[in-house]
Amino acid sequence: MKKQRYTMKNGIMIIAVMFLLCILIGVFSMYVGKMNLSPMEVFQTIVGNGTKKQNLIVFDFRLPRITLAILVGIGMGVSGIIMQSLLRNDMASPGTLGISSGSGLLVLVYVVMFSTSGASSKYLLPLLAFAGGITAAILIFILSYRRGRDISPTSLILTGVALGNGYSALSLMITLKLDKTQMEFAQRWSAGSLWGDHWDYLKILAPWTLLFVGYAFYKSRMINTLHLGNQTAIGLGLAVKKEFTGLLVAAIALSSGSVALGGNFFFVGMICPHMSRKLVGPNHKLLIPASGFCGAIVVLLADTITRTISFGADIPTGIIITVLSIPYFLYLLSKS
Amino acid sequence: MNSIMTDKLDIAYEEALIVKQLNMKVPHGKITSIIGANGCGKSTVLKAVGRVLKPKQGTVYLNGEDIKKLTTKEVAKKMAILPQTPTAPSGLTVGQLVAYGRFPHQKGFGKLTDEDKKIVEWAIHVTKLDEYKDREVDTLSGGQRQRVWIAMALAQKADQILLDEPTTYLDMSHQLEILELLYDLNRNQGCTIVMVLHDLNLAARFSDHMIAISKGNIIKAGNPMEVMTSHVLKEVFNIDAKIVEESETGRPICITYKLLRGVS
Repeated sequence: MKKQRYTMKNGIMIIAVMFLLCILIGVFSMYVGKMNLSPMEVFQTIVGNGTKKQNLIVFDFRLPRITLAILVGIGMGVSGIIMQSLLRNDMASPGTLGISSGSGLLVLVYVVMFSTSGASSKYLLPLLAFAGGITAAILIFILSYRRGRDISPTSLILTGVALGNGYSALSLMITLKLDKTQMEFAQRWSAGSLWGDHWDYLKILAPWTLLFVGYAFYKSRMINTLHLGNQTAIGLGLAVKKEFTGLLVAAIALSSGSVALGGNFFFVGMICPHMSRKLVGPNHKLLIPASGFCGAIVVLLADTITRTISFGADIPTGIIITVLSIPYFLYLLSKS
Repeated sequence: MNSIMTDKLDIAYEEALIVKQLNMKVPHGKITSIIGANGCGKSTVLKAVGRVLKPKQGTVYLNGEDIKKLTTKEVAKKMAILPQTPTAPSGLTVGQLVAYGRFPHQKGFGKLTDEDKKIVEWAIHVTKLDEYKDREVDTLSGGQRQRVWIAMALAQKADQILLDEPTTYLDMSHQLEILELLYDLNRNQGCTIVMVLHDLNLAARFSDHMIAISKGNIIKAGNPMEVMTSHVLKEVFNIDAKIVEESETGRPICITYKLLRGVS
């Protein structure tokens, strides 16, 4: 008889391996960058014997950046898996639901209105990016809502794509008016530059991400049931509207948080759920941690690559991810 | 005694009223089939009874209780519903899917208790799926897959099972296999079965009670002998049907029919 492809035991093993991999890349990532530190120097610095310069590099540059990469990856990975399973569509992701272009638009507005005037506080940009993502998502829901009907995944995605194009058009209009430095910031943001690598930001993003990932993990049984389809879920006694809304809010909150500080990493939200399904199967108790760690590994790895290899210019992390994952994506498409 | 009863049920999609003032009774412990032409509202009625669709007005009673006054979880412990074409996520095994049937009985994170596991084993055994337990659902044939979904409904331990065209897309022998399974569940496990069926002869052969619906109204309800008459079929399907009693089962059977023209 054919052996079972996915078991709980294997799944936990795979997640443990992913966790270790994440730590390994994180440790490796500490050593590399524009200013090379030897492993010994990093170790000495961490235990408290570093010079002033080493302290600065490790604690103020590298560690927050690594932490941000991990948080953004987890946020995108978990957000993606929730959206794909709730909407039962492999193309669903924070990107297709218009969250990316929504927050992108507000980032541009910020660049135009505040960056030159100096009136900005350091929390304004992430707040605006966050608000843009949430607003876009809410708008999509309002527009695809039909009275007395279930929320249809197809209409959500179609509305998301349509609105996303609208946002992009508006963004383009604004972009045309930018000067060179403004333009550069906007472009780096939309390519995914992990710009918010400062402890002040991380103090907010870390509990935010943990809270919603914890919620989603706690609700993994509900996602399993919702994944069977709304009708079957109702038959099984799930309060579909309530759980669906709660989980979608969590997914939107996670991706908006990641977008606000990391920039555009939506490919992670689309690819990582796919990979995790292949690795651990359809049970969300395994899928949610797997997709989160997968996201963390991908973002962290890409960021380490950008910092290790010089491409001649300062390449944003997101570009590396997109370039690396397109072959995988094409492979997926050719197989299905 | 009735296990399910509707009182003046109005069901609408958007503004269009599909079912008006429907009073339907489903006898307890029996097999009931709802028959009718395409678009007559038979699936709609089943969905409203199964609370998938919210009726515009009226009440559905489950064992005498107003379904609106029960939580959806409480309803799920009493009534299982199988949609017309349910889909299982790829990679899910038979055992795992059937275990999802324990959902309304679980709390919190939902670890399967020993009792849950026993019930899942039982549901798999009754539906004769023992050897497929570790197979992935999407690698099974249509008939086997339908048995898996029925097993999931069984694991819910609900006395009432609602099925929307459980034999669609199945060949003749697999249709029979599913209906014989449902018959067995009814006679030996005490499940009340309510289903929408397209095949009149199979409906007449396996049902204790039939409900013929046309344009959202019940034309006739009763035992197969009362419902499978040329008069009723004329009104429901606009056909001129020849009905005889099949000697082996003693049930009415439609041997041939003609379309009636210009009457409707």
